[in-house]
Amino acid sequence: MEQGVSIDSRYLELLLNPTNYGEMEGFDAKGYGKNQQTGEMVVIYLKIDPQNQQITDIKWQTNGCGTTLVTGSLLSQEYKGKSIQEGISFTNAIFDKIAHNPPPDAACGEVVARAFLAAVEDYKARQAGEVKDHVHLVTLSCPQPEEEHGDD
Amino acid sequence: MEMIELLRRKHEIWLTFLFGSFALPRGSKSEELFDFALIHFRHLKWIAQEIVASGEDVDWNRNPIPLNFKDGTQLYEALSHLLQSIRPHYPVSPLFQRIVGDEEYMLTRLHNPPQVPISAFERHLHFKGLDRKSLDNLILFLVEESYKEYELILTYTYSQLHSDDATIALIFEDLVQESLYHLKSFALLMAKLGILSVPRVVMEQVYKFQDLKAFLLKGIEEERAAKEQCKALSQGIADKELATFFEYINQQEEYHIYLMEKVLQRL
Repeated sequence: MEQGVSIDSRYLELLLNPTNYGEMEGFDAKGYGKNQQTGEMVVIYLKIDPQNQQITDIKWQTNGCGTTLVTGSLLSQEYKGKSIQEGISFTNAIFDKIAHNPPPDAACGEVVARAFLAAVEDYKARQAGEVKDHVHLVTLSCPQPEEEHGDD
Repeated sequence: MEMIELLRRKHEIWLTFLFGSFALPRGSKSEELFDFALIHFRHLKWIAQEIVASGEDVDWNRNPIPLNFKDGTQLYEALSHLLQSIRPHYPVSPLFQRIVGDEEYMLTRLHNPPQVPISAFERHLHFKGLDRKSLDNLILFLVEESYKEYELILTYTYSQLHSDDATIALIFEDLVQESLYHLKSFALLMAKLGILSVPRVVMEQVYKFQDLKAFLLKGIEEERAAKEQCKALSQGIADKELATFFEYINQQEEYHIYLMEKVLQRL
């Protein structure tokens, strides 16, 4: 019998103590990613240097599953320090990558990336003096237990 | 200090006492800390009630609480420090007179820490000889569900604070107590695995929902999903005691669905 765990230790640490997690006061942008199918949500807050459009700080929160928690931690580390444009290019590359992932993992990755794009949209809207919630919806599906059992 | 800030500090105190009690080996000291945690939770609700009664709203925002204690002395010193640092900020009122009285007594009890090592944060990652697959499933379940129970406690408490219907408020109280029990059960298992941690902060959008009916319908779906997960765990874990425990939790979730349906009928 195989003992011990196969869960990666870094993955476990991010599950227990996600990085950049929490609310941000005095943010420059806030965006929501939402999966209407599961109710899973991610909110991303950005602090942006107006001189060079660099993301100087990022915070995020979710009510989602473990995969979303780890993805959000990793992506938030990647976004920090990038310019907005670099962040958008990075996000587009993520969409290409996750398309090949298993559906639940893909949807969990997508909800974080969508929240980032919503935050960028929010930043631009705020620059134009418009303040409202910006929400981007997940397009990939996340199979539910009912679907797997075929009794929906 | 503003009331909302006091609420956040009390929230952090509640969780530190609660998870401190889970971290200690089972015994009279852990039971005493757990009882103190329940008193802090009542303080939290009372402060929240005063804020709502004044026409303001509450939130469950707080700082992250990364716990890591090596022994009982470290834990008790941290708890004493929390109580001592908030004390000067309490206003004078019947509520805070009560809170001060409780905390002064707790401080006297914290002078006598248990001389025991704490291993709840040491990432042992083994449990009763479970095989790798069972252990992986158990860890992922505990991490996700401990957060979910904490989220439910805060969501039902928030709903209770804003409910004018006594029957609905009583049902929410039952659901809070049920989730407290589940959270305790899951956290004690996490402590045995060395992965005890305070759940992450719950985002406002979760508990400040617009539509109670939609929230309950979603909650019923989530309870059904949790039931499925418990069932899968009870069937997939090669340990009779754990399997029976998850079957028992699974059966309790069924009644939660019934309680939520009762609330739905009153809307």
